[in-house]
Amino acid sequence: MIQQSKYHVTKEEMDKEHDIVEQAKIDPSKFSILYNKYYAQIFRFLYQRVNDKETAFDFTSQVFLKAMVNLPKYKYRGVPFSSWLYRIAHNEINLVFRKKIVARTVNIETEHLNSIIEEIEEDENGLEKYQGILIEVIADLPAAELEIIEMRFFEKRPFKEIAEILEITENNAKVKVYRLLDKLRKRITTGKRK
Amino acid sequence: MTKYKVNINRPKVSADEIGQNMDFNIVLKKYKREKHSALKINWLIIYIIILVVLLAAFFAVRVINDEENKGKEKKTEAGKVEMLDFE
Repeated sequence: MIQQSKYHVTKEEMDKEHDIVEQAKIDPSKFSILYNKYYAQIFRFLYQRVNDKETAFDFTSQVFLKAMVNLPKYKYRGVPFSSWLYRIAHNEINLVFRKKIVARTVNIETEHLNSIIEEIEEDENGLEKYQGILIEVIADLPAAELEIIEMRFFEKRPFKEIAEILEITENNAKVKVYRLLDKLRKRITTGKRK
Repeated sequence: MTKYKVNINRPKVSADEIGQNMDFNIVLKKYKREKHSALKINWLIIYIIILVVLLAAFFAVRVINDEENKGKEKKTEAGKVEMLDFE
C-alpha cells in the first residue's frame, strides 16, 4: 500500500501559499518564502535523476530562476505551488537529457523496490527473489515510464500530483502506473529485461 | 548494459549541505539581471519600431511629393499643346 506523500499540503496551506505567490508577483523578494520552503524538495527531485550533487544544485537554482521569471503566468488550480515547480524542474531536466548535456541516472534505494514488489508479487520473499532483475528492468525502461516509477514508488507522490507534473489527468496517471506494473510483473516473472 | 547509469543506495545529501547551497540572494540577483536585460531588449525593439515607422513615413511623403510634381509637369505640357493648337 502506498503511504501518504510526505509532501502532502492541506487546503489552508495551499491558500496561504497562493497569497504569497500573489505578493511575490508584485515584490520578487517575497518569493524567498517559497524558495526556502521548496528548495530541498526540488533539489531532491533533480538529484534523484542526475549523478552528482553539483549538477543538481545548479539545476535547482535554474528552476527557481525560471519560476521567478514566469511567476506572472502562474495560475492557481487547486494544487500545491510545488507541482508547478516540479513541472518546471521536469521540463528543464528533460531538455538537458535530450540535449545530452547531462546523462540520465537512476538512483535506486532497495527499500523502495519493496513497494513495487508488494504491488506486483504476493510472495513474501519477492524482494530477494526479484531484486536483481527488477533493477535491470527499471534501468531499461523508456524515460517517460521510468519517470512514473520514480514519482510513484521512489518519491511516493499521490496520483494527483503526478498528473499535475506530467500534465495529464489523474485517471490517466493511474492507468499508466497500473499498465507499468503489469509490464514489470511480466518482465520479472519471465526474467526478460526487454 | 542498461540504458542509464544506475546507483544503488547512494548516500543521501544532508539537510545541512542543502541549506549551505540555498542562498536566495544569488537567485534574486540573477533574476534582476535577467529582468534588466529583458527590459533593455524591449526598449531596443521599441526604438527599432519607431525608426522603421519614421523611415516609412519619410519615404511615403517623398513618393507623394514626386507624384504631385509629375502631375504638375504633365499639366504644363498639356497647356503648351493647347496653346499651339490655338495659334
